[in-house]
Amino acid sequence: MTEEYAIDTHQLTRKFGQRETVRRINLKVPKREVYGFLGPNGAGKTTTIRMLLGLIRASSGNIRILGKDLNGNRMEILKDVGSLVESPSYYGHLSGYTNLKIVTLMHGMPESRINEVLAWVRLEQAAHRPVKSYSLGMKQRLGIAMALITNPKLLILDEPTNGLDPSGIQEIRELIMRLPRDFDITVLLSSHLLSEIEQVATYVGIINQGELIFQGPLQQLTERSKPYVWVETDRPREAAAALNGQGWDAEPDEAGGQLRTSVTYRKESAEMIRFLVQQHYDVYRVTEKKKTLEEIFLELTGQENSL
Amino acid sequence: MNMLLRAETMKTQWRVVILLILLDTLINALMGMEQLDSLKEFFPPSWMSLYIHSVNLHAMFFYPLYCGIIASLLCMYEHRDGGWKIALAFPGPRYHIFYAKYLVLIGILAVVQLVFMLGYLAAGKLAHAPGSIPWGTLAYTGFGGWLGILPLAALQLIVSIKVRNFGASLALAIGYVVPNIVFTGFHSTIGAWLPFTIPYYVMMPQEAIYAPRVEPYSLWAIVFFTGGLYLWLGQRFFERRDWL
Ligand SMILES: Nc1ncnc2c1ncn2[C@@H]1O[C@H](COP(=O)(O)OP(=O)(O)OP(=O)(O)O)[C@@H](O)[C@H]1O
Ligand SMILES: [Mg+2]
Repeated sequence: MTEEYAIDTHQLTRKFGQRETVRRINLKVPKREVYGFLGPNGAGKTTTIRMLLGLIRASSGNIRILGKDLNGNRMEILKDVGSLVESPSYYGHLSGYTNLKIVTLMHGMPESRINEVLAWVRLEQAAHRPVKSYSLGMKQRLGIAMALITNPKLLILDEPTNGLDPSGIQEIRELIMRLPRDFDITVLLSSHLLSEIEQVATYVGIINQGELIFQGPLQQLTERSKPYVWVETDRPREAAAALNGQGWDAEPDEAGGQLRTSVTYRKESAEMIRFLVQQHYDVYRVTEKKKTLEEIFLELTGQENSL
Repeated sequence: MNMLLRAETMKTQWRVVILLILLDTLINALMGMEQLDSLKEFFPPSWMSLYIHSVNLHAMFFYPLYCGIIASLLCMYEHRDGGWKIALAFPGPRYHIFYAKYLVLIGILAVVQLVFMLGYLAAGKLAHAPGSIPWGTLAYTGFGGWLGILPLAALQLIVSIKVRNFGASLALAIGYVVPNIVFTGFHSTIGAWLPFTIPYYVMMPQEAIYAPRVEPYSLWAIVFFTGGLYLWLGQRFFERRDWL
C-alpha cells in the first residue's frame, strides 16, 4: 500500500505537567511537498517535532511516518529521516568534516558523500576547522548538511534559517525547494514567520497554543487575502451605516477616520463614492489594500493586537 | 555497535584523557618512590612495599575520581551543543548508544590501570627496589581493580547524562571520593555497597598493615550484583528518558 502522507499524526497530544502543550493535532504532510509548519513562539512546534523524532514521547495519540507507525518502527523510520531540531547540533571541538563523518558512521553510510554535501551548503573551505570557530550561519548550514547526508526521504527542519543573513536565507530556500523535485524528499519546515515559509512551502499548517488551526495548500491561505477598499471620510461610522442601509458591505474604523468595504468592483465603487458625496460626506481618499498573508496569519493566531 | 564505538572514539577528547592518565601515573609512581625511601624505617623496602605506597592514593582517590571525570568528559560535548540529538538520530536500538559510551569509559579506565602498572614497574626499576616483582598481586589487583570499578562507571555515566553541567558533575565526583578514607575503614561487606570504595578493597594488598578488612566472596558478589543493577537501570533510564 502506498501512503499519500509522509507524516500522519492522529490526535497527537503532549502534556507537560497539567498543561497540554500540543493538543490533539492531526498533522498531514503530503509526500513530496514542502510543508510549512507555522506558529508563534511557544505554540508547540518544537514539541511536536521532538515527538515526531521520538526524542520525547507523546502523552496520547499516534504518529505514522513514511507509512509506518513510529511506535515499534523507530529505527527503520530514523534511517529515512534527517532532522535539525531547534538550534543546530554539532560537536564544537571537532571539524565540520568529522561531524559529518560521525553521522555517516552511525548510519552505516559511505564517507564519499561528505564532500558533495559540504559543497551544497558551501562549507568546503571551512570543512577542516573546528566547528566552534564557525559563525552562527555556518553552524546552521552544517546542521542542514548533517540532516541531508543520510539521504533521507523526509527532512524535518525546525527554524533552519534562524540566524542566517538574507543571502544565506535565500541559499537555504533554494536548496529546500530543490529537494522534492531533485531528490524525492518531503520537507517539514517550521517557522514563526510566514514570510519565511510562503516562498518555499506548498502546504501550510498553522499551530497556535498547541492546536492546529489551519492546514491545507498554501493557495487556500492566499485566497483569504481578499482585497478591500478603504475610504477616508469625516464621519466613518455614519457613512458606514448609510452604506449598509443601501445594502453595501461596510465597516467603520473610527480611529483611522476611515471605513472598509469588500466592494471592489470598479462600477460599484464609483456608485458608492457618488452616493457618499451626494449625502454630503467628505471623501478624502480611496485606496485598495490587500490583506497580506502575514496579517492573515496574525489574525488566525489572534495576535494582530500584540505586535 | 562497532560503528557507534568508532563514532564515540572520534568524539573523545583524547588529549585531556592522556593528560589525566599521565598525571595519575606520575604522581603515584613518584609518591611510591619517595615513600619507599622516607618510610624505610617502618616498611622495609621491597617491590611489595613500593606497590603498597603507590597504590594507596591511586585506588582510594585517583581511580574512582577519574571514573567520574572521564564519564563527565564523555558526556560534556553531548550536552553542550545538542550532541545528544545527533547521537539519538542513530537508527538502531537506543540503549546501544548508552553501552557504546560505557564501553569507551571502561576501556579508558582499563588503560588508566595498565599505565599505572607500567609507571609502578618503571619506578621500581629506577629506585632499585629489592626482591622480586609480585606479579600475582599485580595481576589480581590490576584486573580486579578494573572489574571493581565497573559498577561505579555505570552509575557515573547515568549521573553524567542527567547532570548537564560539567562542573557540577565533577564536584559530585570529588564529593564522594574524599570521604572514601572513612568508608574504606568499614568492613567490605558494608563499605562495598558504596561503589567508589571497591577499587581500594580490591587493590590494596592484604600484606599492608593498614589494609582494609575484606571478605572476597561477598565483595565480588556485591560487585556483580550492583554492576548488573546499575547497568540495567542506566539502559532503562536512557531508553525512557525525554530528550529535551
Ligand atoms: N520541558 C518542558 N517543560 C515544561 N514546558 C515546556 C517544556 N518544553 C516546552 N514547554 C512549553 O511548551 C510550549 C511550546 O514550546 P515549543 O518549544 O514547542 O514552542 P515552539 O512553537 O517551538 O516555539 P518557538 O517558536 O519559540 O521555538 C511552551 O509554552 C513551553 O514553555
Ligand atoms: Mg521551537
